[in-house]
Amino acid sequence: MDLLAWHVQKWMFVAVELGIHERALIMAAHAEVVEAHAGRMKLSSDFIEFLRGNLAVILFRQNRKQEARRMLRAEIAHFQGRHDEAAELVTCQACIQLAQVLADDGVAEAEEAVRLLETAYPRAREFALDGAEGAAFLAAEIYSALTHLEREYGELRQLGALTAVVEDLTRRLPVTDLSQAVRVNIEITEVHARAPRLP
Amino acid sequence: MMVSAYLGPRQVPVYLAASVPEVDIDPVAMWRVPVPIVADRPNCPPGEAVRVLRGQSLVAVDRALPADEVSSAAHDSTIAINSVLQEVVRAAA
Repeated sequence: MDLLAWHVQKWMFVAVELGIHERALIMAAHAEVVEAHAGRMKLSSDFIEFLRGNLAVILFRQNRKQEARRMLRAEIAHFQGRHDEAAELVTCQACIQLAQVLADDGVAEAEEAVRLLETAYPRAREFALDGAEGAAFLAAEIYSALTHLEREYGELRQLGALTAVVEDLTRRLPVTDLSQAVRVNIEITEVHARAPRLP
Repeated sequence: MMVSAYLGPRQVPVYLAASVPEVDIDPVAMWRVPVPIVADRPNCPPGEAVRVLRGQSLVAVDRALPADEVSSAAHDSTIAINSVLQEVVRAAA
């Protein structure tokens, strides 16, 4: 099941990266079946949990938030606390993704999202020492989630301070195509949020 | 058949199912592989296995996956398997 999860995740990931949506959805359906069998057999491994995390991103886009939450929590629980590079990167990404899933679901969830981003930020800063481009994308993703939370829950404790340090990190990292795309997306969302609504 | 029993019943990628038992690489290296690894041995073509399984009415040829830019068109071929048969194969595992 571990090897099968690895293969299915790779086929799904490449389809998502290339923007071949129908292929990605076909592979996501297979990933759901693999995930269900792993759950039924109570199996957990690096690649099964990694599959869960990547599948969660697609389910979130389909507004299947409860399933996405469950899978990201399982992925974080599996990898958190380990110090190998793969586990730290996956934990960081999963914390950001779960924060994005939780961001619109109420104050308690928003507080949890901030705590997740507090966990992800130091890791993104550490990654900057090894690979500035990858860290730039992670920092931009954290900043994007924080600006979204600030619009909805600006009064939350820790939010302002964390946003300031993450913004500072994003300014010190190189601009890449991906980090630039995230920034443009933030600016478009800001403009939409400020624009007066038509009657 | 065993691998396919743990996937969905429709549009099962033949080369994915054929590659799972063939690929044996270091778990650390697996994190760094950017694209799927597809086993495509000329002396054991997955298409031949599909032909045999079709002959026994165990699988049917299904609609190919929408093409991507990184793999050969042959790698997009898929099969359909009856879900009851999948359950029987899993029970026999």
